[in-house]
Amino acid sequence: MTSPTVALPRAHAERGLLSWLTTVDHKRVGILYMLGAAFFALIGGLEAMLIRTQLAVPNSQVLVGDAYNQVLTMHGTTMVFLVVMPLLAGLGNYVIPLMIGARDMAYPRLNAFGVWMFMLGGIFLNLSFILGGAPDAGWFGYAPLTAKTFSRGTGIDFWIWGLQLLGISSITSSINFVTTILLLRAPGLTMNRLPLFAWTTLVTSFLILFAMPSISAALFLLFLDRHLGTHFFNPAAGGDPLLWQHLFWFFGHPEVYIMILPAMGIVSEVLPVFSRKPIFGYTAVAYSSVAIGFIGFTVWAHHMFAVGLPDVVNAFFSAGSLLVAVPTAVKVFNWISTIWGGTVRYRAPFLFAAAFVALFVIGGLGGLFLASVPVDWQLTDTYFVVAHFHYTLFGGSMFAIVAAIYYWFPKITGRFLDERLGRLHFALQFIGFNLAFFPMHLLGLMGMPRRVYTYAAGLGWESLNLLATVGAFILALSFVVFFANIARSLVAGERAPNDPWDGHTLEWLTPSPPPPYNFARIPVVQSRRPVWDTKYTGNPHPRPVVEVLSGNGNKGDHNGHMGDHEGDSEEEHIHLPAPSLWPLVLAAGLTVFALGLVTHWIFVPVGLFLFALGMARWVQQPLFSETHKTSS
Amino acid sequence: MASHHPAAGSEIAVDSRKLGIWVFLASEVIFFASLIVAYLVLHNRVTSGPTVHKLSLTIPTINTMILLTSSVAMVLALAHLRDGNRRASIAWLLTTAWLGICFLILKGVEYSHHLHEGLTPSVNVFGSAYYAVTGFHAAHVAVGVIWILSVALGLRHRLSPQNDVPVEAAGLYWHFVDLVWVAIFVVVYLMR
Repeated sequence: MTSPTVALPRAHAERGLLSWLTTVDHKRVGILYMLGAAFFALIGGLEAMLIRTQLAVPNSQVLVGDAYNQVLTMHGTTMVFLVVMPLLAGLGNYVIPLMIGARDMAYPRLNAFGVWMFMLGGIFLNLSFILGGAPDAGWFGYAPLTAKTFSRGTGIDFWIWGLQLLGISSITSSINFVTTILLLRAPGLTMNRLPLFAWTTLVTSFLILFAMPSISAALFLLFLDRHLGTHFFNPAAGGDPLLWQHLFWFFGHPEVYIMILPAMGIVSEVLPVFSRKPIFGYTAVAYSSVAIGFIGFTVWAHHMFAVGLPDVVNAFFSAGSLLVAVPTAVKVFNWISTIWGGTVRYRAPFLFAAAFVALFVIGGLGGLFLASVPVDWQLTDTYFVVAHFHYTLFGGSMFAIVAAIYYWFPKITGRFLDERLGRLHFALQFIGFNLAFFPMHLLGLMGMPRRVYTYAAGLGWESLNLLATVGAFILALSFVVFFANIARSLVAGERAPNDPWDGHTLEWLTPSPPPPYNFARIPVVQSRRPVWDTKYTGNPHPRPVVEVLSGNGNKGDHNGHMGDHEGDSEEEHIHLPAPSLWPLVLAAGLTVFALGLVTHWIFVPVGLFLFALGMARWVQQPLFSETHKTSS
Repeated sequence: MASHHPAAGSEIAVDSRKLGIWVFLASEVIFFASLIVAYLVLHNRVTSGPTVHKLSLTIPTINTMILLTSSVAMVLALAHLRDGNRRASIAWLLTTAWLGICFLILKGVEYSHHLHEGLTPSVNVFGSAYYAVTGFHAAHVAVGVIWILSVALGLRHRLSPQNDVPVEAAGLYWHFVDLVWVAIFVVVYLMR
């Protein structure tokens, strides 16, 4: 940018623990999401290692019975709600306002609330391990396994309220993403020029908004069943366990698109940059995301083919599930066409993104098998299903997330991740992943049931299971390399310029790392690749716009600090929202309240007090403080 | 950026707080749809005990009129605020909240009749489903009453024709809760 913007002294700390606890900056919130998710990934990964250790040989005694059930349930729940979703939310939080030329999210404090709710919800869920046993009914929590009769401890209650807290976090962050992407785009950045990561995050946010309330309602009903003696899922009194499955999978199937669509968006950003070509078929990629979103709500009962629904219902859901392959394949062909004929730079982000395409296709093909009712009847509840969803969620989402971290790390920290360690990481992750999960396809075809803590010798399953366990440990090693790379690069990584990859989206116009206000001047967008325009069309400086400061009287009333320079076109004020502790207090109140419902009633009034305090002070605190602004 | 107004780039000219409420309410639709579906699936599967025919129409009908009237009051509150008549606006907001409280009191009276007659949440699936649907709605009404009271009392000096969004946002939520009641009234009390 041509005009440097000088920050005036601030009324609050910019460093230290308190500045992070009170932050409302979307970039810091994004980092918090990712740090929290990395912590929970360690726990979830450890659980995976325990599971694979137990299954390495037949009749093993490492982790048996209820302990296995708890670890299995928490592995699934952790990886879905505490790792993949928050990593995608964190990346979106950091990158999307930069990509669309905004200075923050639409609701900065709600954003901070979302990240605290995620962290406290995750801690709450994991507290169950030390407070009487973790949930043990699987991440899908099928009734009547979750009924008081069959699960007497508090594990299921921790699960119920943990998911409710995390649901609140997801809903608030989705409202924020939708509003931000629809309302805060820079001038000229029409929906038809919106970066594809923002497109897929927008669709994902709508999926969360329409899917999450279904499980939220189901969890409330389950809690009433367990503690108020209602009969929603109790077949003995006319209740219906299938009602749970419908309500759960009405959420649960869109949930898998919630985890894959932003990953597809990441890949659609990374591949063009490293192929040095525009994305092939931008419109098709964007609209196929919307199509996946719509079809995603009409396929949930393919998780229930084996429960005995009428044939016509099974046929409908089978057809819907097969239909998902169309927009998905459109994307895959677009990615391949993007790489085709490009001047490919085989850097770490490209390697992970290209691997995503290959592995996701394998996962998707497995999904097509399972969408066919007779095949599903044969394969349901076997390791084939486990192989399928790990190829989509690990080979898919996780590879894309790792690509995104290699891609945006220079922007976030101002330093590159080490390329040689990155290649080692990639080799280990790719080999380890395929060794761990490809054999599960075969185990499933041979009939090995999932969710069971051991298997007998002599069924021909030994060598493939051992292979899978070896692969899992190589996969774990790859993440040791990854974390070592991150730690090393944070202190000694090569310094990154503002635009290290010759990128085309607006975040590369900002310094690395970006200042709190992101853009000194909001850029004007002329095309889908605004930064390439500035570099390659002889237009070195995007036309600066003077921010419209005086919209109407309302604005002056609301902000209360228009200053003396209003109307002076040489001056520009950037108003940043004031830091606030109250989002954290509000999230803590809800968590303590939930703890009271599950453990001791004394926490209920404490939680309600914190909730009321946080809410009242939040509403009373103005979004912008008097002393807090920067100007040029 | 430093406001609730869309950036210059957006084609959508709507206050961000209003858009947020709309998006939230869209999400709430699925929450109540899930509860109503649960009710529709379960309410006829009673094995023993009271059934839907236990319900009387008197109080729910009065309650329907109360809520619909309260929506009119909410509309008037916003209209008066935009006309610059803040005192009238606050009076109508308080009227809306008071009607909401009347609804909750009558709902409580209805519940105590039911409990007295043996229709409890745990008596059978009908009881479970009935209390879940109406109870979660009543909780939403209670939240709405608190919301409207805090706008009417806490923000009363800040409301103006230019700053009407707090009233409009509370109003959007309130009308939504009323609409949900209309659906519940039809599904639970009229369709049997």
